[in-house]
Amino acid sequence: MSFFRRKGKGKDQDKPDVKIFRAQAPASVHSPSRSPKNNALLEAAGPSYVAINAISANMDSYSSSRTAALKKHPMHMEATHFGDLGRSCLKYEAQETKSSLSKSLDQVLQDNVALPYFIQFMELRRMEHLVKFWLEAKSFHSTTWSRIRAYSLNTVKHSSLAEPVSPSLKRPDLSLASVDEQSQDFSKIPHHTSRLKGPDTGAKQDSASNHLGTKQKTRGPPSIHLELCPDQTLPHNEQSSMHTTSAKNTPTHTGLKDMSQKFMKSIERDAVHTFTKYISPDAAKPIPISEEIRSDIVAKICGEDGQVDPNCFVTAQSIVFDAMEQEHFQEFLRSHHFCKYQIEVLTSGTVYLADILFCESALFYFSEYMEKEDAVNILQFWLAADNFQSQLAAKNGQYDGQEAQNDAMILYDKYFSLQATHPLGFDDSVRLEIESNICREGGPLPNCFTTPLRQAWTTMEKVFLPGFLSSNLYYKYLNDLIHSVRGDDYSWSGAGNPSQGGQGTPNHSPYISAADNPGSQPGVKKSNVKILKNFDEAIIVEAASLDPESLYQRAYAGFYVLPSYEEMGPRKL
Amino acid sequence: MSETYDFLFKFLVIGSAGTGKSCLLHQFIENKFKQDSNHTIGVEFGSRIVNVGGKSVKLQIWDTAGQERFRSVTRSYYRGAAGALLVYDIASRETYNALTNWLTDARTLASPNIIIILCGNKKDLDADREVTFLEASRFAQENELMFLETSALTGENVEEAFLKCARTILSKIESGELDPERMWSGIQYGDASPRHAKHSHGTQQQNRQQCNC
Repeated sequence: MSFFRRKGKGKDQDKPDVKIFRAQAPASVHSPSRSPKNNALLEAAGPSYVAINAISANMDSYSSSRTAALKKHPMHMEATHFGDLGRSCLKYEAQETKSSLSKSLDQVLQDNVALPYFIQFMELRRMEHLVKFWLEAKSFHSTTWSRIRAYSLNTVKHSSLAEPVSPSLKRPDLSLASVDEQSQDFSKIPHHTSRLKGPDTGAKQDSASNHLGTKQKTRGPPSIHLELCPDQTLPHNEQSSMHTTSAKNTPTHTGLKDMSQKFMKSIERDAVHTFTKYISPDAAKPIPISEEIRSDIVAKICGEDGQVDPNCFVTAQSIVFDAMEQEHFQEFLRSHHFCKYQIEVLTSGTVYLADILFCESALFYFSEYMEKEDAVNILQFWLAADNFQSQLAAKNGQYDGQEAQNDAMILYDKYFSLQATHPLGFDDSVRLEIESNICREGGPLPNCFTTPLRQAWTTMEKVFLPGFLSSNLYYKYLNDLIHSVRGDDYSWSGAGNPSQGGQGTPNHSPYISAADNPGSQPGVKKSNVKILKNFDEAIIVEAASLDPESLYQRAYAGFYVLPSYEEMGPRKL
Repeated sequence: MSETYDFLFKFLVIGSAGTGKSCLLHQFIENKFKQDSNHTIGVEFGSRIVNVGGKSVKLQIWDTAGQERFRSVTRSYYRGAAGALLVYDIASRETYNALTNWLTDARTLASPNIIIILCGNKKDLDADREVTFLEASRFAQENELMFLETSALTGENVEEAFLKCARTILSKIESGELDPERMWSGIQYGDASPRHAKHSHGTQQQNRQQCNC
């Protein structure tokens, strides 16, 4: 699936560019001001002068097609930002920047393989309530929005104005158009969210809506509605679901109202539960937030309109996230828990290039490998161009175009220019595309080097990754991970850790076991299999020390299912 | 490019923009001054093999962009470095004043135990000096850093800075203070390492322990 998307994106980008350049090729060839190819070494000032001259020549040859280019460009932007393909592109890029060997706290919290190790680590520091609160708040937030969305969809179904399948972008309008007052009330909440969080939230919501829309197209409304409940709602809501079914048979206003009340009650109950457990001054282990924020949360749970704000925990969640990141996460990355996780990833199945390039410890070994293979320039280019695009994208369009152009020209002079100091062998069409991207009015865009980046990526993935994974350097990398774990385990046991006493306990949570088992596949090497067996025991024993509260377990398990589902696709391919 | 070595160390070169980080790297690797004045985009790395106390050591040196706009992306390459050159420009008080921030980043993101040498670069511009040797020396002492003034232009003390750092790391390995096989140490054994035998021996021990389990 990922591979297909990658191809699709490539086609989308290449077609318009190819057309433009084909039209311009004759002009370029015959342009008298174009510099002839010259491999001779030039003086220090030479490269810059020739590069500038080359750019001028290309700009001159483009002048006749400037109007056509400008017309093309807006369409491209439109497709990227608003079309379905644009969303696919975003997903593609998002996937490419993730390493299973994990890089940031945000990624750990969403990775169902890494998360148990982080929880274990936090338990050793007596700070596991921070992680648990964050997970419950996230679960509450996403399930509440899902329930509201499901309810809105159901309401729309009862409206004569609604179509069975509607594009995700038009759904809010349909909700607004509905005569029913209930749907109008709920449609206000999404807008509120958008204003609070800005574009990022919008993107996430669009993604979720698109997901629902996709399901809707393939399976039809009734099955979708039923499928949502088992994964994301508590037993109480299963009852609501049954009621919904009967309401469908008898579409009365009274039925809708009744369901609405139960629906709001369940949300409120979830919110109060989380509040009582982690935020209340009487909580066994309250999270570190100020009284002001606590009052704000109370106000959002017990609002004047009787509705619970789905974002009531967002502020506290952000504070807890920052606390975990600043005080604990760096130590986690240096801990044997994280090494165990990395070993599990590296021995459980396929290792991808992203796993190496976005993990600094692996990159240390891969860099050395690329140097031995005399291919270090490809990696160098990818690192520099990726850094350029990352810092530009992080500015969300608010950047100095001239400064960005200067940065881009440095990379161009080094890797693309006819007098490049580190030529990589990109063909003329790529070089011309880059020249066009750099000289764009207003400065280059964050996707300025995407085409050559993709080519460099593919080269490293197809040509060099397989060799690395069977190289001596890779073996050393695994050995260092294993050595780190064994060393820490020894000193850890020697310290007489309290959880050691729990090793004999037969009791352990079935949910934890279920979550851990998929990642515990036997490795190819004999020694690794034994290590994994040893780890399984440790994991299970430590899991036993978790609180066995039933509500928590169910929420916990529910949280696990979603990420697994979303991450299944790329690995299969 | 297929030379053998006993150890491979990961090094960082960090500091404010324009202090001469890339020129130091270029001077160390190519033994000449880097003529083009382009600033670094994100991160680059180079390597060279040196002889330290009878051991052949390959230094994998990561040169980072000093511009503020690249700060958030370059930090992700700090982790797992064994040593670092912390560079300021002796003719720029501003770059010296920023050292505390760079030092905090290095110790937080790389490792609390990273071996750092403070480099006061552009020693050849003594006439424009804004930071005295004594002042910087005191800063280095207070923060447990080694200290040298260098000139990437003339090459003075450039190689010495890298060697001094590598020598310190090597002595910590030999004293057992640093474990090369630990993840994030920023150290790899090379193919020619005489400790390779010990390496294999360690592996065998691990195998035995696993069998016992």
